[in-house]
Amino acid sequence: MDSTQFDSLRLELRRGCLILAVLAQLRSEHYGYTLRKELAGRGLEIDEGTLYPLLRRLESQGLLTSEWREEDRRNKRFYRLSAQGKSVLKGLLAEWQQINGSVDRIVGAKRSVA
Amino acid sequence: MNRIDSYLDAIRRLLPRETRDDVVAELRDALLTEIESEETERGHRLTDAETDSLLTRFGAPRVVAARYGARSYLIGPRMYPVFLFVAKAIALLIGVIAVIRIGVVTYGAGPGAAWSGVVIPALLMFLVLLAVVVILLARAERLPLPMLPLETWLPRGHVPNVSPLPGWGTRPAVPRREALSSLAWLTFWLVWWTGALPLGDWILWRWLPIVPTQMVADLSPFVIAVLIAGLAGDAIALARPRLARLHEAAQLVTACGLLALTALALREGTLVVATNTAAGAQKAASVTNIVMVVALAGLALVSIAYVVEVVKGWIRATPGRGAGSVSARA
Repeated sequence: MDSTQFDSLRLELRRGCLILAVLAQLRSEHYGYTLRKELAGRGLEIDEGTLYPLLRRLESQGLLTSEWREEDRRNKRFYRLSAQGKSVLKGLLAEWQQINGSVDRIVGAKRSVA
Repeated sequence: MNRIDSYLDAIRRLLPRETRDDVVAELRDALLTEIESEETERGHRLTDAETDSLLTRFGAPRVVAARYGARSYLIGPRMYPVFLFVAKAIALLIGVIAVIRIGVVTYGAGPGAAWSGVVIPALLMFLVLLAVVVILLARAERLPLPMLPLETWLPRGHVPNVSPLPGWGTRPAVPRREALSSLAWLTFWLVWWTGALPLGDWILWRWLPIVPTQMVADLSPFVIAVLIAGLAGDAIALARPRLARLHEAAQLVTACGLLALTALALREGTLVVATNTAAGAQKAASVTNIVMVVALAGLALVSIAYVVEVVKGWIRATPGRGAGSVSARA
């Protein structure tokens, strides 16, 4: 498999996980930069070009709320999970755990066959 | 203007008008925060090269704007079906004219003359018209009008639900794609007949040694009136798709007008005459007359079929009459 193909599949795999991670991280309020640093600190690197449009999309879907506030002498946009976002996150986490368990079982079964 | 400003300005120009200020304000804060953080880490102000490197990591303006949903296409899913239809119609029209002209020119001056005098101009004409269509549809794509309501698309027949309108009976709405295509087609002919653009010269008269007869010129006001009636019908269908009866009434007037025009033209028989007495020109005039008479006869048949169909539909929809009435179905 060439690296382009791998990168493309990796991106596809990460896309859904990133949404879950961003929603989960925004259970407490963050602005873009601190959110990115928090995610990176937990091993999930996400570039600015992906994060900011994603935040905007999630907000337009009603999953996040945001407000402009001054901090460190500059206006920043703070994001937080909305009530709808909390309920969606709960459902997604359950789904994630189920998928994770299924993949683990499938990969485990393959390993034992091999 | 510094690097950051010009970078953000490049993104701003590509963003939708309604969100650009908000998006750019957030990106500015993100960039400045990132720069401050790097400067703290490195212990010095970022050099131009280091700032460039950070901006490169952020992404090219076009890519960043695209991630915010900025439109980067001319014709999108709303207008693509219309584009395809109009492009095919233009290709067909120019193709038919070119084939007739190739026959005439080859007969008179040989195949070499047909290639340089017909094929290349026809291809150029096709490309020019296609470019005009792309520009018009790209503009239409950006109009805040539900011209092709993809959001309310229904699988069955691609036609929205029937809607009862007092006084107008219960009729299916007119598909917008159909109305838009008809509007484009009638506009083309209106431009041709009024001479707003010399389409007739560009496409036909300039290339053939023939001219329309005086009778055709005399009928122009009537032809224009019929075309305007047709356009009015299509405009009604686009603005109020549920007013199907009104649309049908306007189309009925158009069809009757076309029938009358066709009858007059067929009675006359000669619609074009040669511009000189050369054998090739005479042949071109007679071939064109035959083709036009056949086309008009076909048009007359289609018009008759349309009139009969509409009148039958109206009779069926009259309360208490026919199988299609609401009371009969109930």
